[in-house]
Amino acid sequence: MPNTFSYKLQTFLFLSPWLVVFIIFQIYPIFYSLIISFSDFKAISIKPAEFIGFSNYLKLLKSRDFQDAFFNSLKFVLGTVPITMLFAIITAILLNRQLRLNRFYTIAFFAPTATSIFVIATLFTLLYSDDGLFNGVLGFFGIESLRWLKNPDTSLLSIMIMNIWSSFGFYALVFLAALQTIPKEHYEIAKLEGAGAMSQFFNIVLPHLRPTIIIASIINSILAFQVFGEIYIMTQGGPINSTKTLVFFIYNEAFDNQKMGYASAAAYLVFIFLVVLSLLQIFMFKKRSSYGKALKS
Amino acid sequence: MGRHLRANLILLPLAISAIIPLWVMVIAAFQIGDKALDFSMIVPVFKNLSWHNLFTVWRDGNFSRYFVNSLVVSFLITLGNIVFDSMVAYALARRKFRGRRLLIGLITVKLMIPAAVLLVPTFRLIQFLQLYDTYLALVLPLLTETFGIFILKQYIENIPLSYEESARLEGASEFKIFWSIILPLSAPALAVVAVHSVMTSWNMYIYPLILTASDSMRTLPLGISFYSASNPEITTGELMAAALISAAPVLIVFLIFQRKIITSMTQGALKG
Repeated sequence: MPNTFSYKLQTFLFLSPWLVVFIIFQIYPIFYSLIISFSDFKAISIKPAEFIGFSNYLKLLKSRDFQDAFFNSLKFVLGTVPITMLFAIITAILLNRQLRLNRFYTIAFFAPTATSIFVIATLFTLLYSDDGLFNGVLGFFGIESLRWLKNPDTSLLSIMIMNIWSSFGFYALVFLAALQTIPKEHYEIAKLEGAGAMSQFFNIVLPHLRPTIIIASIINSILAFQVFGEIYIMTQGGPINSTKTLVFFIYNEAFDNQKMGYASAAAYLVFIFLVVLSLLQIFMFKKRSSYGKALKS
Repeated sequence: MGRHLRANLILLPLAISAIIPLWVMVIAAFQIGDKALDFSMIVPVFKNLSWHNLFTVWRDGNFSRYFVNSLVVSFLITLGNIVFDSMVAYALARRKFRGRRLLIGLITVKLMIPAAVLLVPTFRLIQFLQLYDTYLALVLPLLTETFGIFILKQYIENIPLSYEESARLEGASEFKIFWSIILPLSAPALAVVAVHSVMTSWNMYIYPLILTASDSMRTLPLGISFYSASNPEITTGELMAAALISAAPVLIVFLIFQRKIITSMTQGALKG
């Protein structure tokens, strides 16, 4: 049957809505931005865009602003993803024990994920203010107040803390889902063999979670590398570029400075970097079968 | 028992710090006055509680319009995601065709395309299609969604084949099978996809920012952020009331469906 024309047509019809959206809003834009990244295309300009070869790319690699943005984004990913994953795994393992307060816990951990970045950013701007809750907590422990978002040394850190707060609950639920597919017998056998909690964790739980950890950390890195709304609402990249991240840089060049060709070149550098980063992550976690399983699922 | 005590000792502080900022937001929205969000906000002062802030911002801002915009956009995106994602997922899970693995690869690659790469071209494309500053500009690019396709594909693969086979023997068409057998059986996974779509579309920020211009086209998050930016003398309570208006619908949907979402997420819909 799979060879008849009507079968093929039906398959095509099932796929067609996705294909249309994918081609128009993903494939076409990717090529479009590749092409204009080699031009001096500006949104408001009388003269037509000219082909200028790699000069956008060369200019970017030399630009201090772009370098700042790149390292800020890198710091953001390296600082948030491991901690988010660690919190999420610990939370999921504990939630898997069917505690009496589980319903309260799931609501508490998931509610920040259901809240928009605008709300979170507005709320945390106030919590980070000089007489806000964060300084209150520091004061409680006898620590001197910080200026959080207003100090270039702590501004990025403040947004990173907020990002971990708002995202680990979602990944905790994802890990919880994966944990519940471990057959009970595995634990029982381990118990009979006298394995302690630590050895159970390393021999049963961690190997089982590995494919989920790979996918979750890749998605988390991609999202963290693209942090924008928080920056736009809270700091506009400041003070002194300390929170200027790559996507904010791109938005700023494209829509404030109208340099769309330049911004597209920057976006392409980000894209290339993300693909490399994702492949690196896959290879880092790779352990024969688990990688295949992770991507096939 | 001792183990559970230890688990609670870790989870309780974590859960409290997860919920405190949102709790403070709710309290501040209902408190009169321009107080800082500090420790005192954790315990509400009952005689200061009122609807005043919520009424003020709703009256002064164009919020009912933003609300309708968010509702329309979220509804269309969610509907599109449910129908189109499940069609692709069904084809990937059940039908044999050449290029199936390539397609799965492409869907995975789509996850890696950063939104940043798409910003400029999407903006130009929407201008070219003369859709700038319309609902369609916000809806069309988001009609299908990768997360939903993966969730549904996995779920459909676990539905026993026998249902479809007996329907096929009775002469049901492929679309009938999809519509009246696969879709109803996938209800739990569809619920997860729906909630996810509602959450992301209700909360999106960067697309409305670059694809709309007029005040009357803004969605809630964007409208409120412009409202607070153009009112420098806005009080803390009013700002938090505005934030609450934007956050409440999704939080309420989540609280109502909380049990369903979590059980369907943890019952095989998201098997690693």
